[in-house]
Amino acid sequence: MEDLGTRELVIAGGGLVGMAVGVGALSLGASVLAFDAGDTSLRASRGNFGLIWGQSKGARGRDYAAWTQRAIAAWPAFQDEIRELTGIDTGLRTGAGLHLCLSEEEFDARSRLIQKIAGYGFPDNDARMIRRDEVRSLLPGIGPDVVGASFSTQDGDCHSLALYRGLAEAYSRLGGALKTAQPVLGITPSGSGYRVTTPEFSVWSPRVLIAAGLGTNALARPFGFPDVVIGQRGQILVTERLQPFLDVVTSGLRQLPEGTVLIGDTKEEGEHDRATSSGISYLARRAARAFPAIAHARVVRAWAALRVLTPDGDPVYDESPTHPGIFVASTHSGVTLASAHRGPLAHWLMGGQRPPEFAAFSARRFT
Amino acid sequence: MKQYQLAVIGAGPAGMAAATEASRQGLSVIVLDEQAQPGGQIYRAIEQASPQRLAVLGADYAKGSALAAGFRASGADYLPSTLLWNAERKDGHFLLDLSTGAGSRRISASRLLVATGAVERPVPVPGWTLPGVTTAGALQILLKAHGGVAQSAVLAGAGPLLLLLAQQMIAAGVAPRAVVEIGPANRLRRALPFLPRALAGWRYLVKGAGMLRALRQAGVAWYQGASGFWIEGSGEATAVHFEIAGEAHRIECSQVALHMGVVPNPQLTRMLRCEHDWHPTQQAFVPRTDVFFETSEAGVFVAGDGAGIGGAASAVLRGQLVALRIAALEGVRGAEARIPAIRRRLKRDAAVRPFLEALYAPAEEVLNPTDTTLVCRCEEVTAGAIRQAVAGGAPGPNQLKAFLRCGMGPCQGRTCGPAVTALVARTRGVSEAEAGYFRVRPPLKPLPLSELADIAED
Repeated sequence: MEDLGTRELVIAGGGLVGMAVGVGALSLGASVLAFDAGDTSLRASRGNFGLIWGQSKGARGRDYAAWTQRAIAAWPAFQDEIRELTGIDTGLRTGAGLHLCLSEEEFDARSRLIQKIAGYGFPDNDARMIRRDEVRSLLPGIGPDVVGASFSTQDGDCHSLALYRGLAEAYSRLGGALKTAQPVLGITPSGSGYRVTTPEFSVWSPRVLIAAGLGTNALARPFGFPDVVIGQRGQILVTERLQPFLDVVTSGLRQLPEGTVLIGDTKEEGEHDRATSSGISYLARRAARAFPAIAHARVVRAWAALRVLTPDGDPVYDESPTHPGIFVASTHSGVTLASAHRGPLAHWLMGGQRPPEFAAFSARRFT
Repeated sequence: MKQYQLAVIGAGPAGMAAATEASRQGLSVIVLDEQAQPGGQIYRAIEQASPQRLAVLGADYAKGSALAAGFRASGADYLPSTLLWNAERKDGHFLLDLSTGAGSRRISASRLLVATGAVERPVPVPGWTLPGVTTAGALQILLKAHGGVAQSAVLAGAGPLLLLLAQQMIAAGVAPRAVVEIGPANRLRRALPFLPRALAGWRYLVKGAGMLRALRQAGVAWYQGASGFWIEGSGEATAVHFEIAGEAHRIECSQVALHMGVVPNPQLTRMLRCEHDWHPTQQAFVPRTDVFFETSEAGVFVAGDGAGIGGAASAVLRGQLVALRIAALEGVRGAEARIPAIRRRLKRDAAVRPFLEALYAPAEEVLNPTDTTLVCRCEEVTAGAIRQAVAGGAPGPNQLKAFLRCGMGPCQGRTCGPAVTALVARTRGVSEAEAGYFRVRPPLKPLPLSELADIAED
């Protein structure tokens, strides 16, 4: 086993969360090393639908809404930073984000959620419910089943795979070390810090961030953390490239700049990450109801991944109650929150101020 | 929903033989096949072949007639022009989603036989995406299905199919311009140690000698030991370039057929998440099976070239063996009695393989293409971009997909998969087994959204 020496921060997990924190820590001048698992490990970062989305965040409480607001506000500068470092355009596109409702029941439920979040009074959150006619003025192609939508100018999407690659490349440009195909096998206390071992390497650090997606529970358990993640299967359909027909983003269907249309996503009990016929068919039916013209498009693949979900859906950012220097970060919203992970989260990990929202994101709520 | 004891996917030699035998053993069998008629790739269009076309294509092709006739008479249900787009386990059965051209339908089967054969290894050389460049297999399909023959063609690469195609083109009256073997000049010397064992399969050697003789008699130029192969053309292929022992060659042509051997078609066994092992001499992933060709996924069998390249004769034997095994598992008494004899014939038929594998090992230059060569045609990803992404931390094909969209286009990695694995392995300095392969997801081929919306919800 090769000893890689010491680093000021070691990250278990090279996904969207780990890389965003890594970029943040590196830009504070820290030395960082990240370990990432293999090619076919369960990677939520590859299954993301790519929304930048605030309108529905915060059903459980104000703090998640506040944290999301902070992230969305920081996104443009974050995008510029990635572009300057790597030349990669993450394709942020906000201005019109809609969640289509295909029945009055859906409309009413959505309406209650949007109202609750509007009640928090964030100045940038202009989400509101709109009726069918107004939806049609934005989206002429909607089908007869669309009764209305929630609408926010703050929301939209980005190119989530470009974000993933951009983060990984920015991280390496800033001098971060990334060891892939090296799942973390153990984190053991050693002196005033921790020794982290993988099949081929070992490294010492005073600070370890566990951002290992569905591998988080096993790594965090020895440090007094309750289980914080459960897998939830989400499926997405991807069409062939089509002529541009959709310049606004809906939560269940969006067209990428290269022309493919993403249709998502299901929320299923997640014991595996295989695409299923029933999930595929459900998505196809809803898409055809929302946009009848898309029924003729060819679907080139279905995609399934396991969301990294906490039991209540809100993120976890916490330090071990028993082992100072061991941190856990886990959220299923690695795209929208990427800018906040790069900023305030990384800052806190490296000794800066703890963001006020984090009191609500403690893992203790699951004990 | 109709229930079967056995669903066979693919109506090539393995699938036809298995369905025929399983029906004879009294099992309820259904065969699904993408083509309109039985035969698979090797016996494509066999039922309509005129005596004249049979003469052009040779005696081995003609053997398919009896196989197809036996299959037609077997009583097995048969769905031609049908695509299996997903298979899932449910309550001890497999639910199969089929696209039949008239919407989706669903059947259920206790066991699956994957008999989807082989696919040609991609041959990423500079210029391989130009119009006028096809695979040797595609050119042969023209010959089998339409009697069409390409004019002024260069056949390039390595493998028995390249020579067979040349012989068939000569017989059809339009000899290829040249046959260019890419790879080491000493192929034969490398293969010689395997020759004694191959003598047990002398019929194949005689056939091979016949191909070479046909080439010589027709005066077709045959180049061996070519390297630095590339295709010239702006808009379409107009010439090929290569070097032999430091000497540069250029041959004008209007058509180039590339071939570097075949590999087991990985799509269905990968989608079913069967374990695969790297076969170092076939330079391909092969599904891991027990001695009865059952994969790591219980109830999923694989026969024919999909279980490792063995040719049509072995495919028939493997198909029969699997059918007898499944019959035994279904309680047919004495069904396994013939298996030892089939095993002996399989062993004899396979004797020539190590020799052929050594003789036609894929050329390193197509496994490790130059930086500017396209590897993923759909998304236009070059070998250089892949090397760079691997260096930047992508450990395998699936992370490359996320970083580069490589393998994400309409073909979903069906074409470039083996090339990407080879390149990752060489860039990382690890085995192909460690480099891994694309995850394959349903639908197995692109389908209209309306058709996917159409299936019944459970």
